[in-house]
Amino acid sequence: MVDPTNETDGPATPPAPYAAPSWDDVVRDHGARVYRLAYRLTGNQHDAEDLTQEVFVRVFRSLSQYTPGSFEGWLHRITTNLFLDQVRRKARIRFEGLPEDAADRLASRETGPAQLLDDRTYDADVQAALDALAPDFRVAVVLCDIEGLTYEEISELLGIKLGTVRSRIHRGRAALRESLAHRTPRTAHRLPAGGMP
Amino acid sequence: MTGRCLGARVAELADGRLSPAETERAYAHVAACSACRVALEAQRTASTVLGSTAGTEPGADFLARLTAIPEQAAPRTPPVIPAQPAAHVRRAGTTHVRLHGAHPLSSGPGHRRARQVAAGAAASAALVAAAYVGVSSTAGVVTTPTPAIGRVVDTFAVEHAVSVDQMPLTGPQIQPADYTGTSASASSSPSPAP
Repeated sequence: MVDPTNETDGPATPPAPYAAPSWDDVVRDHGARVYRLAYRLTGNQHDAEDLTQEVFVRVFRSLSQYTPGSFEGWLHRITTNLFLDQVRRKARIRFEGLPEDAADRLASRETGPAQLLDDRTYDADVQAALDALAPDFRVAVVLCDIEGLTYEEISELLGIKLGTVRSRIHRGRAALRESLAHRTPRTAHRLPAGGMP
Repeated sequence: MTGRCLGARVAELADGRLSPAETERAYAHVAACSACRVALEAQRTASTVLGSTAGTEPGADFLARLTAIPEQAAPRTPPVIPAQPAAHVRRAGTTHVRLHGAHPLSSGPGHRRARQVAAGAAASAALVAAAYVGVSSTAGVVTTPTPAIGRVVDTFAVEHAVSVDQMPLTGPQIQPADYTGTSASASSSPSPAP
């Protein structure tokens, strides 16, 4: 309605701002990003590839139902929810009989030397610290500090309350900071910006 | 000490999510509370470290696997009726209709049999075109070019040609050689051999 040139064409004209991307475009534009997120969540190349593959199979199957404008959010949602589904499925199998919150209290996976060596550029100690987090906390921290989502976006995406998002980010970062104590010891003495004379 | 300890709100303080008034009170507390100071530093450090590390890039071979997903997933794709048929499906149909519609013109004047065959070809082209509409309305879920649509159409075209004892449909690449040179023999030759 703000664009008068569209009025003569009527509704039959394909929506100008959105042309369905080719599959090659989708992979080229989003493949690496989804993989990076999957790697942060799973912690190793093999699981990251499996997760990414599954995400894109889902994307391909439901591409026709996709409404333009939220592709990144859509990918975040599929990736994190698939990841958490997998984690819970494995946890049920592995920890059957343990208390309900066992998966939260136990580190989800072991960090072996192979995992620390199997890639190229990323910081292995950061990934190891992420791996040591319970998956729910890992997801919250990764979405916030790596993907740059707001608390509100994370709340909506994971279907949890804002207070829960805050709590997971808080506890996840606190645990990460302990795991990474060796990494930046000098900043331990840093004063909060603006709060101190 | 001013106020209560921040608890989880220290994350929001680190992220700048508190209101100006809340922020001021929080910093006043942090100035006096070493535990919250340490906690705030931990939030900031963790956040900064995470945000500054490079991610892991996928290999080119893996990206190629993603690109090939349509070839593996297409046969299992359930039919979903889209608002508009995929453009490439309609293009494919148009191409074939033009191809067969061109027979009468390229076969030229003369032989009656050639005209009959050509008319039959045009009729079958119309049928096939109608079939294309059906295909595109049920299988249009595939919004990217994949071999699946082409296979379905090709299979149908061959089956149709056989069932009506018509001249088999040919691909566009064959058409110039067959129909521009020797018009009559080209048009009649595709009939089943006696």
